[in-house]
Formats: sequence, C-alpha cells, structure tokens
Amino acid sequence: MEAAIYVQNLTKVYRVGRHREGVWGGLLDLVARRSQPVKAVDNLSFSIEPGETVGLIGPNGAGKSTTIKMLTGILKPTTGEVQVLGVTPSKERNRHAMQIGVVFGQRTQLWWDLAVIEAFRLLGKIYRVPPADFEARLAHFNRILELEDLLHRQVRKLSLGQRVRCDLAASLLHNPPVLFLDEPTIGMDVAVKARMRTFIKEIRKNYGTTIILTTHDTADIEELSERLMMIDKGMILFDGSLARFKESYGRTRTLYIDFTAEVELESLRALIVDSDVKLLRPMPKRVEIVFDRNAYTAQDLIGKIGAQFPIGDFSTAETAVETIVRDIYEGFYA
Amino acid sequence: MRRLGAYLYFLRLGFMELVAYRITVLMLALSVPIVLFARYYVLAALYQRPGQMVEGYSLQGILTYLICAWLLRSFFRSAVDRRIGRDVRSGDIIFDLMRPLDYAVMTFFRALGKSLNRMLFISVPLLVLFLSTDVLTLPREAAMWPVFLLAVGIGFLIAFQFQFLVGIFTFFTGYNIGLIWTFDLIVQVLSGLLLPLHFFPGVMQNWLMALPFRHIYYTPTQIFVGHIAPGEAVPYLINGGLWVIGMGLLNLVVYRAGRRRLTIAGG
Repeated sequence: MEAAIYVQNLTKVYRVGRHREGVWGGLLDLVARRSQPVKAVDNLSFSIEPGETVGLIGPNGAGKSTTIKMLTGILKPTTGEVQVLGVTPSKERNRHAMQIGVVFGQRTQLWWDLAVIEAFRLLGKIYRVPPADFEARLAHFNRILELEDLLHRQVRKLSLGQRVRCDLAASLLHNPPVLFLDEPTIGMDVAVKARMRTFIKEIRKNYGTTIILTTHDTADIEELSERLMMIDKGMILFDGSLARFKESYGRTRTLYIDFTAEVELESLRALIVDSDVKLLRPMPKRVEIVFDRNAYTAQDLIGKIGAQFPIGDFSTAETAVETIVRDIYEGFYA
Repeated sequence: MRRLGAYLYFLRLGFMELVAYRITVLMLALSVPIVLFARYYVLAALYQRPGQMVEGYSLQGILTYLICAWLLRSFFRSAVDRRIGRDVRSGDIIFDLMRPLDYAVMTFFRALGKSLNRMLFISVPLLVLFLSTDVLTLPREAAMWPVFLLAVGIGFLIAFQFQFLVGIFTFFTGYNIGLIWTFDLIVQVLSGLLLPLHFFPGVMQNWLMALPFRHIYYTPTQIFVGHIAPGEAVPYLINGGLWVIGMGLLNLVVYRAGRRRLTIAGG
C-alpha cells in the first residue's frame, strides 16, 4: 500500500533575521538584511500509512511545527522530498489544499469579528462541499463537539476551548483524508480535552483519516496514537509504538516516600541525588524520586534514606510517559 | 471561474465584518466632516476677496474638491495593510495561504466588501448630509458621471494596490504599523487629498504626474469638479489603467519574494 505521507531527507534551513528597530530600520532591512542560517529540520525521513495516527513530540523549537508546515505546503523544504497522498505540497498547492485539514491550537481560521457559522459557510464554498454533505457534517460535529450554542456567537467572545472545538470542526468540513493537528489541546481543561480526544477518535473511526498530531500533553498521545515520533534539534530521536517507547526509555521508576516528620530537603538531596537519581516535587513530608532501575533498586534507596530519615510510607510506580519525555528533554538519558 | 462563488463569499464576509462595530463606523463617519471643516478653513485663508480665484479654484470650488476627495477616501481605505500585518504577526495568515485560492484575490474581495460597507454606511449618508446643506452641489453634466465612476474605480484599485503592498511588507519585516502611518501621510499629500496637486510648484507637479498616486483622489476629483472635461479624460483613464496593471505586477513580484521569506514563527 502506498504511504499516506512520505518524507525523505527533509531539511529546512531558515535564515533568521537580526532586525533593526523601527520604521527606518525596517526599510533598511528591506535593502540590507542581516541574518544567520538556522537548521530547523535536519535530514528527516519517515513514512506514515493511511489511517495511522502519529503523535509528534519534542521540546519547544525542536522542529515539529516546521515539519508540519512543510507537510501542509506552507513552507517549502530547503532540500528533500515530501509527498502527501502522492502530491508534493509545495508544487501542487491547490490540489494539496483540498486533501488536508489543519488545526493550529494557537491560531484560528475563524473570523474574529463574525459568528462561527459564517466562517464555516465560507469554508464550504472554498472547498466546494455539496450543501447536503455540509449540513450532514455540521449536524454530526454539532452533536459530538456540542457546537449548537456556539455557532451564532462572535468568535472573539469564545473561550479558548470553545474556539478550538470550532476550529477542529472547521478543518473537517471538507472531510479531508489527512488531518494535521498542531497542539490541538493547548490551554484546555480536562473535560474539554477529553471531549476533543473522543471526537478525534470518532472521526478516525468513521472516515479512516490519517492524523498527525503535535502536542506537549503526552496524554493526548497515550490516548490517540499508536505511534510516537520524538523530534529534537530537527532530528528524529525515536520513532515507534508507544509500548516500545516505554520499554526503551522507561528504564526509570518512581518512588514516592512519605515521612513521619519534616525532613531537611537539602541533606536528603545530598544523600541520594546523582546522575541516576532525581528528586521531583519535593515537599517537607513527601518526595518523589525518579531513579534509573539499572543503577539502583527501590530497596537500595529506601535503605539509604531510612537510615537517616523517618520513613512513614512508600510506594513505587512505572514512570509516566510525561516524566520520561521530560527526562529526555532534560538530558537524563544523554 | 469555478472559484468565483468562494471569492464572492469573501466579499460578503468582508461586508459583514465592519457591521460588528457600530461605534467604529460612527466615529469614521464623524471624522470626515471634522477634517473637512479644518481643511476648508486653512484653505479659505488663501482667499481675501469675494470671487477671487486661486490656481483656477474659487472658494466654493475648493470646498467641492475637498468634499469629493474625502468622500472617496471614506471608502477607499479598507485597512488591508493593517489586517495583513496583524495576520502575519498573529500567524493566522497561515490559513489564508493554505487555501486553494489566490491570496491577493481573496484579500481584494474581502477589502471590496469592507469598502462597500463603508460606502453604504459612511459615504452615502455623508453625501446626503452635504447635499442637504447646500455646501455641495452635484455637477449637472450627465456625461461626467460614467467617466467619473470609471476614474473612481481606477482610484480604488490603485489605493488597494498600495495598501496591499504596505501589508505584504510585513512578510519581510513582520511589522508595518509605522509604515502604515508614514505611507498614508505620503499618499495624502501625493494623491491630492491634502491639496489639489496644481497648488504645488511646477517641478514637483511634473514628478507627481509621473507617479501613480494622483489617480487615487486627484484624477476622479478633477473630473468631478469639471477641471477635466469628460471628453479630455481618456488619456488620464488610460494612464491610470496602466498604473493599475503596473502596480499589480509590482505586487506580484513583491508577494512572490515575500512569500519565500515568510516563516511564520512560533507555534
């Protein structure tokens, strides 16, 4: 089967301008720009099968958004090849535009000054959605995303969660086979996030949509994607199933200890913390310790701590994906 | 033109956008008589004797000129320069660039919708107001109207092209607020909004005649006040039409260059 998304040796080099100030500075910049090259995406290769949902994670500035922008055709790759359903985005712009839907959680494709429904109808015209299909999809989205009350409100007056729900519906009105979600759950409360995820799952189930998702909330990935790709400094650090991710990176465990009395955190830190052990969320009577289980066992640590501090209770747990990811960002595994 | 339906929808939404802000519309409408009042009295200081002519204009002629030019301005400025700048800075422009449509054409129809709204809710009421208070009398010559409307069309297109140019300037700099103000003031002077252009010294006039600005307000208004007879207007309209094409090509080149530079940071 032909891959839905095919990326080969993709590289993007930005020239990041060093801007002068003000109007005349701006005019000067127009004639004599000062800039330096920055490699945002570095020789990326991967492919995604139709119907797959892939979660893209990586720290801020890792190159996730740049990758998405090249896949959507907004940015032209410096070198390398991109194909989405056999179309090269930067070459066949219009054909590509018809087959993708895009949500940028921090931006909106709705019209700030108008009611939500107006932008929806515009999109119906732009993508030439037959009126019957348009109404049917709108009714469907209304039901799952509970948009009924929002449709006739001015976009400016919506809360962030409400707006992103509307944006998600907007991106799907033309039923695109490929959907890009760039931080779709940013700034949402738990309930709204859950509803978003349910909706995305339902869309995928009904239409077999291929989805690429970037997020900082690993719960999105745990719930939605079978496959995870981690990017940093424009390169792929990991590409595989979530289970394999936990296996290969989840070599840490977390130990929770409750003390019977307040403890001197600094001396606790001095006692146990080294390159394989970390102290998280320390409180006077409760600490969370993340350790590399190849270097220590929980017993080692409890013994060591119990000798000097009054332990009341303890428990251990698999480290959450969120913690694994954070540790990778912070160089715990470097 | 399979896409015309979509473009016309942009016009429709552009028209509706401004309706959301009644106070803005009111303030814009009020600003015109206030500005006219000030401009008129500055120019009236030139006239010392009743019936005196300055550079071919009577005092009443100057008033007619100013009213016509400012009524045009009240709907020529659709603020696309500001909107493009804002969209670039917020990054929302990304969606417009992703549509299976032409960005410039989309922007034009949206601006046209906004201008039609302004014409209906600002220019027409002001026109009625001026006509009802005998500060303005419409020209009697019927042949003037089609020529005038054509010149207004050309003026509108050139005004749009300049605003679009200032707007896409943000593709390079990410910022254009200062440029908008500066450029608008330059346009006010060079297009004849501030003064009829033949009040300027001869050398400067030669320059102004070689530039496109004059077609925005000066040419249509000269036709309106009768300084350009309908029969003599053809070379002006041809020159204006060529400038519309020339500015369009300039914008195309700048847009293409800017589109390559545009990175849309963040997110």
